[in-house]
Amino acid sequence: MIEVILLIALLGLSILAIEGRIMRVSIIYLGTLSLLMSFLYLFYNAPDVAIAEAVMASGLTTLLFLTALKRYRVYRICFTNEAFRRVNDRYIFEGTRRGALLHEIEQFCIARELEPQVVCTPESLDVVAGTGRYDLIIRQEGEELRVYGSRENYFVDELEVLLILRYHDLNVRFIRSGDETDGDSIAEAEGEAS
Amino acid sequence: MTEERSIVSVVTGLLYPYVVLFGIYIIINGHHTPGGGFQGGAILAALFIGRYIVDPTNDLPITRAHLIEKAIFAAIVIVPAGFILTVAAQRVPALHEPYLVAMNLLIGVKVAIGLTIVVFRYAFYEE
Repeated sequence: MIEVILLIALLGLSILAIEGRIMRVSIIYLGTLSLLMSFLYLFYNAPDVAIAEAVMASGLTTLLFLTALKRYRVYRICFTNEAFRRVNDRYIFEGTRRGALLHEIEQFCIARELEPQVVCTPESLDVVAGTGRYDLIIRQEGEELRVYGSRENYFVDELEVLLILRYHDLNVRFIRSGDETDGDSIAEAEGEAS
Repeated sequence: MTEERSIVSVVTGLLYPYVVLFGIYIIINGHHTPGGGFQGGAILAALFIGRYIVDPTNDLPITRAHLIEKAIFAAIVIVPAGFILTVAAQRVPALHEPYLVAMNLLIGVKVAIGLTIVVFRYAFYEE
C-alpha cells in the first residue's frame, strides 16, 4: 500500500517537475522526488542506497541546481515606488494595473526561458541602483513609469515594443544605461534623457 | 548578510552543528551500520555548499584543499597496500576494525573536499 502511494507520488512529482514553468519550483519538486525515492529504497531494505540518494540527489543536486540557477538566466526585476512607505503585496499583485504589468513582464521572461525574480521596494532609485544587482528597474512616479535597463540587452528593447503594443495609454518611458546598472551609469543616462 | 536570504541563513545556522555531527557519525559507524565514507563525506560537502548558498563569498582556500585532497588520495592508496601486503592483516584480527574506520575516515574527508572543490570551482571560476 505504502509502496503504491509512494510510486504514484513519484510519478506525480516528476510530471510536475517537467511541466512546471518556474524553474525554482521545479528544482524543489525534484528534491522532493529524490526524498520520496530514498523512502522507497528504505522500504526495499536498502538503507545504504537510501542514504546516498537522500544526500546526493536530494541535498547536493538540489543545491547544485540552485547554484546554477543563481548564476544563469535569472532576470532580477526591481519595482520601486518611493511614494509608499510600506510595500503591500496585495497592492502589487492583485487586480491593479501595475500588478497586471508585473505579471506580464514575468510571463515575458518565462517565454524567453529566463527566470524572473521580482523585488518590490519603497527604496529610492539611488539605493536600488547602488546595489548593482538588478537587471531591470521599474520606477513609479505618480502615474509615470520609468524602466531602467541595460543598453546592451536586447531583451529590454523587446519588452519596450511589447509594452507599447499592449498598453497604448500607459505612460511609460524607457531609459537605457551602459552595460552595468550601477548608480553612475543610471545618473548618466538620466542626464542624457532629460 | 542581505535581508532576502535571512530565513535560509538562520535555518542553515541552526542545522549546521547537527549536520556536522551526522556526517561524522555516518563516517565513523560506516563499517557496521548503513552509510560509510562516501555518504558521510557527501553530507559534509553539503555543509560547505549550503554555506555557499547562504553567503556566496570565495574565501575557502581552494588551492590548499587541492593539496590536501591529493595527499589523502595518496594515503588511500598507501594505507590498504601497507595493510594487506604486510603480514599484520592476517596475524592480528584486532586491527581489522581500526583499519575499516581509518579507511572510511580517509574516503569521507576526500569525498567532502572533492565535492566542495567541484562546486566552488563551478560557482566561481567556470564562465
